[in-house]
Amino acid sequence: MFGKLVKYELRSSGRTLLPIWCAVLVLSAANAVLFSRPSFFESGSRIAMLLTSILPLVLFALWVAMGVLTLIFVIQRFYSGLLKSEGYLMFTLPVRVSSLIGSRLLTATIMELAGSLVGILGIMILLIGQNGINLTVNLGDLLRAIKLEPQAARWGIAALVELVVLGLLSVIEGNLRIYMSIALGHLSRRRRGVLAVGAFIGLCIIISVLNVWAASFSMQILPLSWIDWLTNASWANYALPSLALGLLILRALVLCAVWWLGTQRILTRRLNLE
Amino acid sequence: MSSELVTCKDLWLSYGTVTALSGVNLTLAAGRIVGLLGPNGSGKTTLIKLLNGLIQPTSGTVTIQGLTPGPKTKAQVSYLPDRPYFADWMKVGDMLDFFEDFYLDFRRDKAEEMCGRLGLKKNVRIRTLSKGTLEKLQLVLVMSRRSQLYLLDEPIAGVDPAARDFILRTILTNYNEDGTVLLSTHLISDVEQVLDEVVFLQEGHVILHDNVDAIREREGKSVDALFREKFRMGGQGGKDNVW
Repeated sequence: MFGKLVKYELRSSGRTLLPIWCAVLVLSAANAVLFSRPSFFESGSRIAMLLTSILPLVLFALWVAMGVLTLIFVIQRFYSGLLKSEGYLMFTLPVRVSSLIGSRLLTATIMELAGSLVGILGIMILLIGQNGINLTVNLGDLLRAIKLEPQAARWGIAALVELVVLGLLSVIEGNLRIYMSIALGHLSRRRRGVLAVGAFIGLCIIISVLNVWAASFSMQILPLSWIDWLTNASWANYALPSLALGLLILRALVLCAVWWLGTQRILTRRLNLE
Repeated sequence: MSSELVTCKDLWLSYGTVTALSGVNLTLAAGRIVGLLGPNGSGKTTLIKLLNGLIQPTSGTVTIQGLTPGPKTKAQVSYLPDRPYFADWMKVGDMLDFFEDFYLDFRRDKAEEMCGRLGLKKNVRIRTLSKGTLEKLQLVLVMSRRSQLYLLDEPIAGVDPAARDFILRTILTNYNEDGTVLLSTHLISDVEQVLDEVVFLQEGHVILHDNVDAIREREGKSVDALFREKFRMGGQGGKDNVW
């Protein structure tokens, strides 16, 4: 059933976002072609002047629109798709509430990652068009560097993997935080939208306060000798970034769990469709 | 398995300070067409939402075939809400696919046949349909399931007499006769002839649950006449006026 929920969510979101992705890629290519021919825009013709001033602006506007639309999509598919009239259909399907939340979350995350990929591809097309990027990696050099500094390479690879995991978890955590805020707004019978925005701001403030508190608290409870050892150990230069990323991953996991459980509880126990 | 299809025991539901249901005790057997009757705000929609698991009781229990509302009961319950619940990006054909995907008891051939009779083509976008057609499509989808329990919330409210006939005919010719239809309305004269039993709700209380024939025999009047009499007095008698 979960797969079927995701299928319909993907179809719904693809309809909205696919055209704008295509437009970004096409316009990136058009810009790349345009700027790879200096003779064209140096010709001073009216069309050249118009195109060189308008096309980059349109591309920039599309990038912004893509980001905004994706965010609206994440909010709208959860709010309208579950907590407005469509909720009468979705919450009477023979599926668990966790499947409803999970399908929205998975689709939103896929759309955000796909949107980012389209953005990166667009930039690459622009840069390739101008011969300003060399995408080839000298594998031999890389292997030689790994052999020379195996410890640094190990920690480096670990940090890289952690960075990717952290990026993914941050996207998921952001989506779940939005869901939690909308669910908190749903607890009220009136002005649910305004309360959801207030809840989101409130959650962000609470997390910031907790971050500062956790940092100062850990400095207080960690013995000074530990901090000395951590910062002066021979492997510290390589390992510390990886350890720090590990802690950030743990933090993101805890936040994801809190938002997930909170949202699930509200939608299970306190659901009240209009 | 219990022969009782629906059981509500001392069911209470409050929205803040407003009490929507007050100690409802109700048992419905299988194979019946039951009218859930009461004026606006008497708790009909709330009771139906509780049976669907769309809201949770403040206290008390509700079970369907002995199970608390959840994915298993939802597979057995066909629900028609009092509003359209379609995603506007979908086409008629998408909704048929959707129901076929999620409900094992959905009879697609039946749904397609009824859509054909209504002149609804599969490639028509749902957002282009009129309110009346949307309601009919929703009814077609709901009644094309072979469910144990049909929960129909105000299916004939706000429609013209021709549409009312279509709706009642669709319900009567398509429901699973082994299952039960719970139909909420305050337009009793239109549905009285199809009901086996009625439940009167007033201010969140069940004030009557009986067979239609027994009521007519005992009271010497139609259910509609009795309803009008009781609820005209409802303002004075209120919930103390329990039979």
